[in-house]
Amino acid sequence: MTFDGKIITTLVMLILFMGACLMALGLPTKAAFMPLLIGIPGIILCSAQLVLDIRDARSPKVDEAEKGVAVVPADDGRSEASMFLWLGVFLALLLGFGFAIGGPLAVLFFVYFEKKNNWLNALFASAGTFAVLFGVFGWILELTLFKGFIIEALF
Amino acid sequence: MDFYSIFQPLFNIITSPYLMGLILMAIPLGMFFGAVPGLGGKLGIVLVIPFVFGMDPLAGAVFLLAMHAVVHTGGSIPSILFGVPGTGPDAATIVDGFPMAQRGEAGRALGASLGASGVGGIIGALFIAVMLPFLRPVVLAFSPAEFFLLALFGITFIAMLSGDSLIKGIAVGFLGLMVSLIGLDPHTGSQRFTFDQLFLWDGVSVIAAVLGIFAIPEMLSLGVKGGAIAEVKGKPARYDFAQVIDGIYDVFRNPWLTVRTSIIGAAIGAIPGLGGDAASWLCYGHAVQTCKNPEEFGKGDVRGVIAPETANNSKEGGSLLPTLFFGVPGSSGMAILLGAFVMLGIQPGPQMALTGMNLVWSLIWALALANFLSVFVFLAMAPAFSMLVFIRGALLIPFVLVLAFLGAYLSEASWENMVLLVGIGILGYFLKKHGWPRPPFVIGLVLGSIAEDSIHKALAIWGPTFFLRPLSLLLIALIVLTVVIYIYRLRTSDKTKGVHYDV
Repeated sequence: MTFDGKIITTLVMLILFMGACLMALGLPTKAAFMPLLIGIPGIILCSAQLVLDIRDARSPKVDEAEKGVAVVPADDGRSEASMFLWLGVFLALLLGFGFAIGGPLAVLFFVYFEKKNNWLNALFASAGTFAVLFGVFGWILELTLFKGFIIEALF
Repeated sequence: MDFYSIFQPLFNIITSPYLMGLILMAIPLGMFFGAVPGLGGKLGIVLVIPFVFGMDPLAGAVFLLAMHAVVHTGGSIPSILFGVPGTGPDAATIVDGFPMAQRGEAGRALGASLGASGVGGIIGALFIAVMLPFLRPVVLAFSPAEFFLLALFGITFIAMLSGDSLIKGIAVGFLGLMVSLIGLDPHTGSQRFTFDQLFLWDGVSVIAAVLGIFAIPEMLSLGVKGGAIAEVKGKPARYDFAQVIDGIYDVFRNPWLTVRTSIIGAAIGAIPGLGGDAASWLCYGHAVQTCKNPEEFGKGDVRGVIAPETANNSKEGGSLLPTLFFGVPGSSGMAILLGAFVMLGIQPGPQMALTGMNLVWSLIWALALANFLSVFVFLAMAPAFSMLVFIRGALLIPFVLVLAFLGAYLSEASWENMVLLVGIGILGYFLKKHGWPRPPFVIGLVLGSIAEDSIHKALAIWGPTFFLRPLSLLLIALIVLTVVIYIYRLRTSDKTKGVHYDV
C-alpha cells in the first residue's frame, strides 16, 4: 500500500476535523457545542472514508483503458507544482505591487511564458487586464483597490 | 397577496434603465459561461462576484440570477454544433440536436433550443408565482428546531446531488459548517479558531471561501490539463438565420409538449436533490413516451431538442423556491447563488415570506425577463458563441486568477483574504482531484451561523427533545430517506453508465 494523494486528502480532512475538536475542548461549553456537534460526525465520516481509501489502495488496480476511461493526453499541460508556483507568483505580485500594477504584471508573465515567448500576446493581455482593473473597478465602479506593500512603502 | 405587490416589482425593473441594463449585460455573460464547455454557471457566478460587490442587493441579485438563468441557453450551442455539452444538463440535447446539425439542420436545432429555453424559463418563473400562495404558510410554520434540521437536510441533499460519494459530500458540508464557526462566538464572545488574527474575528469571508473552493481549483486543473477547454476538433456546422426562425416556430408547433416539459422541469427543480440532469433526461424520456412516431427520436427529431431545453431553463425557476424560502438550494448551481445572495446581504429563509416578498417577486420577474430577452441576444450572438469552445486555457487562467484575488480582497478590503483564498484554493484543488464534491462546502458555510443560532434557540425552548416535534420528525425522515435513496441507487446503478459530476 502506498500513501497516494487520495489517502493524503482524506487524512488532511480527518486532521482538520480532529484539530477543530481538540481546539473546541478548550472553549467555553456553549462555544464548543456546535464545533463538537459537527466535528465528531466529521471525524467518523472521514475515518470511514479513510478505511475505504485504504481498501481501494490495497485492491489490484484496474487499467484505465480496461475501465473504458478515455485518457486525453495534454498537449501543453503543466505540472501541478508549476501551477502552484504560478499561484504563489500571482499572490506575491498582487501583495507586493497591488492590483493596478501587480495584476497586469502577473498576466504579462503568465501569458509570456505560456505562449512561448510571444511578447505581443502578453502585452495585449496585460493591457486588457489593466483596463479592466483600473478602468472598470477603479474608475467606473469607484472601488478602492489594494495598492501593494512595496508600492505603499515606496510612495 | 394583491395585484399591486405582484406587478409593482416588474414595473420597477422595466422602468429602471439600470436594472434592465444589468439584465442585458448578464445575458451574454451567462450564455458565455454556458457555451464554453467546462466553465458552466457555478464558476460564472463565482467569477462575477467582484463585479456585483458593493451593489444594491436587489440589483446584484437580479444580475446574478439573470446570468444563471440563461446558462443552459448558451450551453445548447456546443451541444448542437459540436456534440459537446456546454454544461452537464445539456447532454440530453445532443441526442437529437447533434444529428440535426449533421444533416444540415443546425440552425433549426438552435432555433428550437432557443425558443424552448425562452418559453421554458418563462413558464418556470410563472410556476414559482403560482406556487407562492401555497408555500407561504408552510414556510411560516417552521421553528428554530426545523431550521437546524433544514441545514443538515440541505447538506445531505447537495452531497447526494453533487458527487459520487455521500460520505465525502457530507464531510465536506460539515467542513463548510466548521469554517462558518470561525470568529467570535455569538453567545460567549470567546474567540473560536481565529488564531489571534483580527481579520478572522468577524468570520471567514464567504466570498473568499467560495472563490477559493471553486475558481482556484478550476484554473489549476485547467493549467494542469492544458490545451483548449474542450476537446473539440473541426469547424462548427453552418446554418442560416431562416433555419433558426423555423426552429423557433417548431416550439409553437408543439405547444403541449413545450408546456408539459416546462411544468415537469419546474416541479423537478423545486425538489432539492434531483438536479438538472434528472430534469432534462426525464423530460426527454417523457417526450419519447408520449409523442407520436417515437422511433424518430435519437435520429434528429426536433422534439428531442425542445423537451430537454424547456426543462433545463424551467427547472431554474422551480429550484429558486427552496433556495429562497428554506435556504435549501434546489441544485448545486443554486448553492453557489445562495452564497452570493448572502454576500449581497440577502438572507434566504422563511423571513423572506414576511419581509422579502418584494425581492422575491423582483427575482421572479428578472428570471422571466432574462429568459425572454435571451432569445434576442442569442439571435445576435450565436455565431460568436460557437467559437468560444476553442478558447485556450493559457489565456483564460491569468484573468480568472486575478479576478478571484480581486473578489477575495474586495469582500472585506483585507489583503489577508488573498492568502486565505490561496489556502482554500489548494485544499479545493485536491478535493476536486480526489472526488470530494465542493458545493456542500458552500451550503455548510452559508447555513452554519443559522444552524448554530437555531440549535441554541431550540435547546433553550424545548430542551434536548426538540427533534421530537412533528415537523422535525418529518425532516429527520427526509434526511434518512435521502441516505436510503443514495444507498439504493448505489446498489442498483451500473457505475460504468453513470453520469460523472465534476464538481
